[in-house]
Amino acid sequence: MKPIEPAELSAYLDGELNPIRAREVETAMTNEPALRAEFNALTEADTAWRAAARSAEFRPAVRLRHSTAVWASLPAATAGVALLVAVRILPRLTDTLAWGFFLHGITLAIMVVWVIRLARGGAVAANSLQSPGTHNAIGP
Amino acid sequence: MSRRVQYAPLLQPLLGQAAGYSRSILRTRHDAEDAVQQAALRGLERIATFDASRSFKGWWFAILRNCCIDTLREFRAAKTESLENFDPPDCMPPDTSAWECLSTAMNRLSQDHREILRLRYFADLSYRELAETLNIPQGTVMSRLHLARKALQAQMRKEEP
Repeated sequence: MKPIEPAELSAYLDGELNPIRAREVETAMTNEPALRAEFNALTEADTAWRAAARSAEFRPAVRLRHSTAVWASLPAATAGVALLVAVRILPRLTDTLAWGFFLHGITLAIMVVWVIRLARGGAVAANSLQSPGTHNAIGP
Repeated sequence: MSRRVQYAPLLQPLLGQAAGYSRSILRTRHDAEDAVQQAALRGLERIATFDASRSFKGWWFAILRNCCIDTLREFRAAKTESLENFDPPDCMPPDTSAWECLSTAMNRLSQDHREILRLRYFADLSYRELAETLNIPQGTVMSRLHLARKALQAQMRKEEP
């Protein structure tokens, strides 16, 4: 049997040795009290450290942003509406009043879009220049 | 199936350990939560490049580790912490919880040793996952982890009152 290397004690403790080698480690520990004592000390420390590390855990609130089909298609929809406006509506705007109504309509539409985005949580101050999206929480 | 739909169920079971791991590096709950959030989004952006023959946990914790390093770099830039020689400042309140004592002892070790110990204990990575996260062979994981444990044992003994 190949002599047991110190690192193999750690691997045995972690259940990372193959079954044949694990049995050899067990046999060696039975025959060598010093090796058994070292393993026991490792096990004791390992148990305490695991418990300590677990006490640092908490459930973070994580959100995954993603583009939904509606918002992903927004650029194409905007281009379509702009084309329609250019071809069908702009030639008919012959006086100042009509232009005024038209510009007010555009402004209102932009406001409605942003109100909807805010309501969906897709627009926050920090991300106001990023692509539109929604938030899905995967934490609590 | 959308990337998010595939990604979220894989990520969800890792969040508690991810928070603990980040907290062991960044100390505050708030900074740890920010790092996990950042890693979650970065992982989602890169999920298409994930090789399914590898461990998802190892892959994602490598991203989280980088996010924590980025945050520490920001701290360093703000002259509050040092990445290479991270020592808790003297003005910090005394360690009160078990994880803080453990983390403080790990901070006194070499960078290689504290990295592998944090990933083993706070993130609970297997040897295969450690090898993938740290980009080292599994044999190196075994020997490095053992040496790191011995170093931590010695450090804990030194810090005992």
